[in-house]
Formats: sequence, C-alpha cells, structure tokens
Amino acid sequence: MLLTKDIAFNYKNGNNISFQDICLEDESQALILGKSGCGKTTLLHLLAGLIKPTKGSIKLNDTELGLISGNALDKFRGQEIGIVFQTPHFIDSVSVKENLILAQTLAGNPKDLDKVQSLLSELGVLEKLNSKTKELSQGQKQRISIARALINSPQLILADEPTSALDDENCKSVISLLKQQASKSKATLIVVTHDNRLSNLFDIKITL
Amino acid sequence: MNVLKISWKNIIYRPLSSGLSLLLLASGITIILITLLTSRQISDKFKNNSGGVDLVIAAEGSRLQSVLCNLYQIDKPTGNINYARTGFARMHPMVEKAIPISIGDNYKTYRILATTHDYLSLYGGEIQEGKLWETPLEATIGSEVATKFGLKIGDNFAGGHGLGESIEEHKDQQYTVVGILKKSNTVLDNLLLTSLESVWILHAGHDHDSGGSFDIISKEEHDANLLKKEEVHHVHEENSHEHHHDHEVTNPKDYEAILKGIDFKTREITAMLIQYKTTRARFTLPGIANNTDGMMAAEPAIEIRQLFELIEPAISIISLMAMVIVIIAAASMFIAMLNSLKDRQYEIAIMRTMGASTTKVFTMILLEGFLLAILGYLLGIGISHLGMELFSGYLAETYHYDFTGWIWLKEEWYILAGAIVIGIISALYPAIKAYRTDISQTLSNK
Repeated sequence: MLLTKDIAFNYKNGNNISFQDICLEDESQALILGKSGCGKTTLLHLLAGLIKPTKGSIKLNDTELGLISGNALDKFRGQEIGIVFQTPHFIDSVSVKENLILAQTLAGNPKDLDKVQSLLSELGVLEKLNSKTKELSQGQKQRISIARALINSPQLILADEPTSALDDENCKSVISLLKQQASKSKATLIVVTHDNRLSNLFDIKITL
Repeated sequence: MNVLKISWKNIIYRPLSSGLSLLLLASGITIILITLLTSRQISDKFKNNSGGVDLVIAAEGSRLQSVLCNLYQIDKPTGNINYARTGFARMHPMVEKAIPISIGDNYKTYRILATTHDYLSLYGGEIQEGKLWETPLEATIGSEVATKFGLKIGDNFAGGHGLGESIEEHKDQQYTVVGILKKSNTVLDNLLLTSLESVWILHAGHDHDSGGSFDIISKEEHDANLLKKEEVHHVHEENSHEHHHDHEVTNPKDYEAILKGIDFKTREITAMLIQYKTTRARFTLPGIANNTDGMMAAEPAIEIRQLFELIEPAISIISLMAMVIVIIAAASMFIAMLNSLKDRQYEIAIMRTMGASTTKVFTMILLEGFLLAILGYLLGIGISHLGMELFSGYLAETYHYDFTGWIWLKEEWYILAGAIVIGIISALYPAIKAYRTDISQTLSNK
C-alpha cells in the first residue's frame, strides 16, 4: 500500500508546493494527470525518494521513506522502486544486456540472465540483447527502460511521461505492456502524465 | 557487472580522449625511465670498468680524455709515452700494480689492446676456452667480440690501423686467436688482448700515417726508426718469401728476430695503469709523473666525478621536461574526465536511481583515473624498455659498450606510485562532482 500524507516541498527558488494525499492499494494502477509545471515530476521524485518532502510522510508498505537515507535509501530504491523516465537514458558504454544486469547488481541482487532474457522477450525486444543502447529506436528504448524498471520485481513502478515521445501506436503498446508487466509482478503502478491519450486506459485517476 | 568493469567500459567507450591521456602519460614516463635506464647503466659501467685503478699515466693532454681512453676504452689516446721511462712507476715502493697498455689498432672497430696478463686481474677476467696470449701476435679475445664476429680458437685476423674503421690493415702479419674470455660485463668483453710485443713488432716497419697513438713519436725516434726500417724490411722480405706458399701464421721465432731489432728505448706504450699499495702514493706518484717530460697523471675518481658533474644539469633538464609532460598528461586526464562527466551526468543519476550509492559512483570515477594511470604506466614501461633495448644496439655500435633494455630499476615502483597518484588526483574533482550529483534536478532537466 502506498500512502502519502500532507506532503509539501520547497523549491530552491523559494516556491512552495503541497500535494493532496494519495492512498493506493497494492497492485493498483493509477494515472496522475496535470498540466506541465504543476509539480508532477516533483511528486514522482518524492515518491521515488529522490528528494525529501519538507513536511508530511510517504509510506510504501512498511517503509517510511523519510526515515531512511543514504546508502539504505539508495538500496531500497534499487530493489523496491522501478522508474521509467520520459526520455529513456542508459549507460551508453555497455550493451542492453549489461544495462539490465547492472540494474540487478547495483540494487544488490544477484545477476540473473534468464530473467533479463524472458523480460526482453515479453517486451518484444529480445533481439536487442547485445546491441548498444545508442543503436535503439525511441520505442525500443522505452521498452527496454520498462524492462529495467521491472527487472528487480519492485513493489512500486513509477513512470514519468513515458509516452510523450511516442506515436499513438507505440503509446498504446507501451502502456499496455507497462500495465501487463506491473500486474504480472504484483507491483503498484503510477503513471504521471499530461498525455490525454492515456486517460481512458486507467481506472484510478488523480488530477493535480 | 562490478564497478571496475563499468569504469573500464567507460574508458574504452571514449577511445580518443582516453587514448590522448594515455599517450601523454606514457610519454612522460618513457622520458623519465629512459633517462634513468641510460644514466644508471652508464654509471654502472663506469663503476664496473674502473678496475680499481688509482692513477692513469699517459701522454700529456686532457686528463679526462686519458682516463676515458685508457680505462674506459671510449675516447682516443692522448699520445704515446716511452715505456723505458715509466720505470719510476713500476719500481715505486707504494705501487701495487703498474700495468702498461698500448692502444691504436682495431679489428673491425673493436680495439686491440696490447698489455700484460696483469690487465685481466683489474676486471677479474677469466679464460672461457683456450689460453692467454704468450708469444707475439697471439690474441685472447673478449666474449662479445668472439660472438659478434664468430671468431674461434685458431682463427686468424688482421688488425687495422687506428681506432676507427680502417682501410689499411696489417694483412701480412695476422693475429691468431688462442683464447676466449668469459663474459665479465666489463670492457674486457669488447677487447682483443695481445702482448705489448705484438704491437711493437707490427709497427716496427710502418710509416706513421694513421690515427692511433702508436704513430705519435718524437723526431729523434722517427729518425731512429728510419734507420731500423731497412733492417726490419730485410727480415720482413725474408719472411714473406719463406711463407709465400702457405698462409699460416709466421713462425714466432722470426718475430723474436724483429723484436731484437727494436731498441728498447724506442718502445712505446699508450698508458700505464696504476694500482696503489697505499693511498699515500697519491701524494708522490702523480707529482713524479707530471714532472716527467711528456707525461701526465690523471686520477680516474676525480675525472669521472667531474664528468658526472658536467652531465648532471643535462639530466635535470630532461627530468624537468618529463615532469612538464606528466603534468600536461594529468591536466588532459582531468579535462577529459570532466568533459565526459558532463555527458554522463544523466547516466550517473540513472545509476543512482538503480540503487548505486554515492560511494559507488565516486569509486567508479576514481577507478577510471586509476585504470588510466595503470595503463599509461604499463605503456610507458613497455616503450621505455623496448626502446632502450633497440637503442642499445646503436650504443653498442658506437661505444662498444653493452646496454640492455631488460634491467628493472626500483625507481619503476616509485614511478608506478607517482602515476597512480596523478591518476587519482585528476579523477578526484570529477569524482566529487559525481558524488554530489543532484539526481532529481539532473533528471528533471532533460
């Protein structure tokens, strides 16, 4: 269960933003909608533990994110939270396979090549296993970043505008893959977007 | 996938900038190491070849030249001295050994050195096969000479006039190899040793026209030689006639005859190498030598120290140059890493979201500097030793001294430590920058 209560954040430039409380059951799939500049990305970063709220609490199951920090937080994030970014980025110096294995080992999990392969084949990009990340198309990149977010079977998957760079066809398939994989690994899925194409695809919608 | 592997992949992902840093570092190390290898080997050679000689008595001229020529077999002789008049040194009560040597002929640019058996004791020379020279025109040769020219016992060779490559050879009177010396890593390896008499005989009937020291004689001696010349020629012709049908070495007895024809007072040597019985000898013997007409005494220890004092500033300048190159290498590594970090900020933020701790990211960047340093070091060491080995062929041709690239100095450990320090220092600031990356801000910017 993901629970946020009274969270607020102060930007460096002094602006202040507060968010409505969120309560999501395990395995629920939610869309957070809002115009650009309304703090969507800030909320996502708060949920991912990349920044700390100036007040309020964020609780993922039994873990209060505000109470852990440093290496413990990094490790928790690596294991329990998968993030899909608006523009997919990878470690360019290593192959697709190594990027995914890196995601396993950096989170402190053992290297599991079978899982890498099965995930890539489910996402339809197994043939890119040994490719350089620079050689991928935008749609392929987004599929592989979904694979990376899922590789450690996290409790929470956060996606920040995952479809903004994709055409309608890719948009649909990426979202359905994301939903499908999230429910398969019993993870809570939160997609943050201003993309209205997605509003019909989710039951839970939170508008900021 | 451990951190070391990612660092490595990051280095080879940017081959040009990594390669430039590597090349600069390796160049700096190469210059430092080649300077060290050369100066170390030269000073070792000087140490090994000093033979414990306390004083060199030679013809007047440059003291340094007489030491280099007569002890180290590098420079040309300063001239000749009269053997009979060196009695003061041979008889001096404080002299342990007085070894006469005569230099002036060569075999394919390798020096033929005429001396007594005592000369070997200076360098602990031992016979590998055969025996030491006894009668005139017998030669015992150094191991390098034997290997280089494939000379074996019983082989004959003709000496050439002077010390460089010479056209004129003593073709009619050839030396016979009677022994080969063990390798001693001293001047012995590159010399052909024979008796003083050999040289006196060979030069008895010759005109004085070449660069060796045998030819520098006074006018009186010149006249005396002219008189003798007819006599010697006479004997000579007889010899040629007798041995016209076979080219075997001339009968030693005939040399005795020639030798008898050479007045003892006209016999010359290039230098006298002196070992003292007691150091007190240095207060009397050099003075006597310097007061003897046409003679000069040189103390190797002093001359060589002065030589090194002369060379030292040059070595300092070369070292300074190497340092500058190493600093440029460090700067290039620093800039290359800072630039690559700009491109990789997002990558680092992503790694952090994947669970990499700040320490891990810090270590990764630091390791890149470390790996580049190790690689630069290995490249530098490889080039230096290989270069030295290739260069040694040239040095051996020129000086007849053996150099090698396959010696290892303890300074190489210091250089390794230095390289690592440089690698880490250049990577430190980029690593700190990576450590401090604000993940949220970096990710929001793109």
